[in-house]
Amino acid sequence: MSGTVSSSIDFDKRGKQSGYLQAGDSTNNSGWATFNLPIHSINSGSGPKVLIIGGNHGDEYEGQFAVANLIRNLKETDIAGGLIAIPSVSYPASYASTRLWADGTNFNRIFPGNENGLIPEKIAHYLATELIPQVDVVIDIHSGGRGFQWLEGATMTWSDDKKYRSDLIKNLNAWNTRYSMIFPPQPGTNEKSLLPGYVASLGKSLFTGEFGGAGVTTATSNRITRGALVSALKSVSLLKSDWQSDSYDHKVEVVNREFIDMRSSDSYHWAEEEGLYQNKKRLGERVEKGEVIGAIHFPESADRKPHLVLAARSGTVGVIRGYPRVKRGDCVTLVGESYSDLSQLPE
Amino acid sequence: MSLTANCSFDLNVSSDYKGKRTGYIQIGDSTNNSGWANHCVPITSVKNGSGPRVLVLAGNHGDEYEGQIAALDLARRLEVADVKGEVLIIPVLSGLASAAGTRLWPNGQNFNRVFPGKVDGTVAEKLAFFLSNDLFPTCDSVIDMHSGGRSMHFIPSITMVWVSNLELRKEMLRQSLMCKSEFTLLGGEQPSTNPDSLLPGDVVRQGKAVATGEFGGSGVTTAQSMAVINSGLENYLRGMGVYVGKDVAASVYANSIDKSGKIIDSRDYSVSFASASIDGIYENRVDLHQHVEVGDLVGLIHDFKTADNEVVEVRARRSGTVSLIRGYSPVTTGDVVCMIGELFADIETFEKSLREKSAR
Repeated sequence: MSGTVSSSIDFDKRGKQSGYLQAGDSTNNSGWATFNLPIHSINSGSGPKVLIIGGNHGDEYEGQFAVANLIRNLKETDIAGGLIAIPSVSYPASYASTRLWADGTNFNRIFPGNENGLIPEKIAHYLATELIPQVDVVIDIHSGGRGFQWLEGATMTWSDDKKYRSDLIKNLNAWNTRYSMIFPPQPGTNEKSLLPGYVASLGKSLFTGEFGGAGVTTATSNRITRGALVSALKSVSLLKSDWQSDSYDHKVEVVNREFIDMRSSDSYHWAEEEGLYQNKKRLGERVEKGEVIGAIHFPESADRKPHLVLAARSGTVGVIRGYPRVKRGDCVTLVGESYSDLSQLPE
Repeated sequence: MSLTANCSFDLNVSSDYKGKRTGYIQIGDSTNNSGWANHCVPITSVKNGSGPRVLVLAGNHGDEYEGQIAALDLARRLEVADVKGEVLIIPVLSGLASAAGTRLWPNGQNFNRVFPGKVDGTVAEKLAFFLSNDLFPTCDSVIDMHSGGRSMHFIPSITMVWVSNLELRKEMLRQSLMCKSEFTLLGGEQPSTNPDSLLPGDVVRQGKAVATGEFGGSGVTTAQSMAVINSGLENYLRGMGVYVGKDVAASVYANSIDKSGKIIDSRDYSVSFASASIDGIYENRVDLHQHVEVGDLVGLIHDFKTADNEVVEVRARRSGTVSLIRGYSPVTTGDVVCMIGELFADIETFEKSLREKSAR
């Protein structure tokens, strides 16, 4: 129960409603202010309850568009159960086109939030204590933002809990994307401080995905995101299996599915110098260990040779660098072994 | 002759000089942290006796990295034996903006709007003056490599402004096609802008041909955009007669480059652009290369601040091929979000259509 955030809509009420999560705020220009976060609810009675979050990071727009457009196109009769959707949970960051909030907060590192904290912390606390506990399924849609470009696809963070892991794998498959990527918990990070990590700690069913990035959403990446979201919602029996919509074009042909295993530390390639990064390989391209996958140029020194980044392992390129001005320690490329079937994935 | 910028090596050596030199354009500066400073812009000259002098420029806008990388690679790999005449390369014109990941310089100046520069102006204006006054007059031709930067994403291609000087237009079209790119985009002059204030405009004002290109953008340089730019640059230099070395780019990218020389005509900006009609967050609903009809939906402008969840539609004002989509998603009223032009299979088909139009 949050004492600092309230909802203008009642999620138990039947029908389609739009309103705001309202967090107490006090700013230089408005001493007594309310931060209004748009939220939507569609409730048709019995069935699964699903929470969809877009824009966890501000500059990851694919999910924000997919969620906002979905809500506009859904009626109460299209679903069996309850849907709560926040299209752009970090919208001040979206308008600034930044990953983080203006106060420097990374919304995906502050769970379970703080009732008496900053605005994003209050919102996170409300999600953690009010919204996530009342739903069965959480869908959190990401992309590469400005820094990365991903193969558009489903993702999962490997779990040691076998029962929970099998549910994650089921959902990874249910997104029905051409590419899926599996990675380990992020090093040096409290997994439960992430929205999905917090959801996992409560044992709730979880869908995550990375749908493109590098500061451009294309018609294709947006359509892939819509198609995946529809597949996910049908797989949990919230959206009726025969639902389709011309105004919410979600038709994506999925062939030759690949599951890319990025759990091993040699999947990750880091900038070892500060400079101007050049991607030498394309997304989805096969590389061999030792091949040049990128080059860091030094534009300020006219005759210094570029620093080459070599593939630490063989595999498929799943992520390339977006913003090319890299600092030492920035992740520039992810490479992983590709499997055509999830059952081939090693333990 | 500029009194506020100079090159660290002699740019006016005798015509039979042979050698490769790398140094800096040094511009007098005075900053908070360095009272007596020089702003250094790296420059490389590869000269092999007499012949044309071609100036290769990139990083005019800081966040357009494709050309910077291509020019840096070229400056490193060119040897004297590869050249006839002189190739002069400035890989990153707007170094401070490049380091900051921005189009404009930290002082807010757009390097491509300050020409012909100012001898006693800001550092950017001094550099522009040096180019306009000391370099352009000594060069036979100039290539200025752009991309969409963070805000836009182009089909990686050669571009050409349809200049009014007929003779120059003919020569610029010849040079554009010489790059053997899959696409050449033809555009008009930017509305409400002094054309001479742009770097290419200043070259044209001096009666010289300038080649330009828009090689991708939206803040990601891909292997594909680099293939287009590296091949185009090598073909350009060879066509100008200044590069006589091996087919380096041509062989590396032999299988990934289409040389069909298609033309996309977007000269009429009054209908070729689609622009934002309201502030918001822009969603592309068309892909590059896609054909659209007049009135087709090209994008949506979202409002994530209100629960109404309404969108404003952006529609095509002409039919044709999409050559530009939006990169940076937040838009302000008047921002260009899409460019459309008529696609022609090759230059002959385009010129035939021009003749038919003028006959009517």
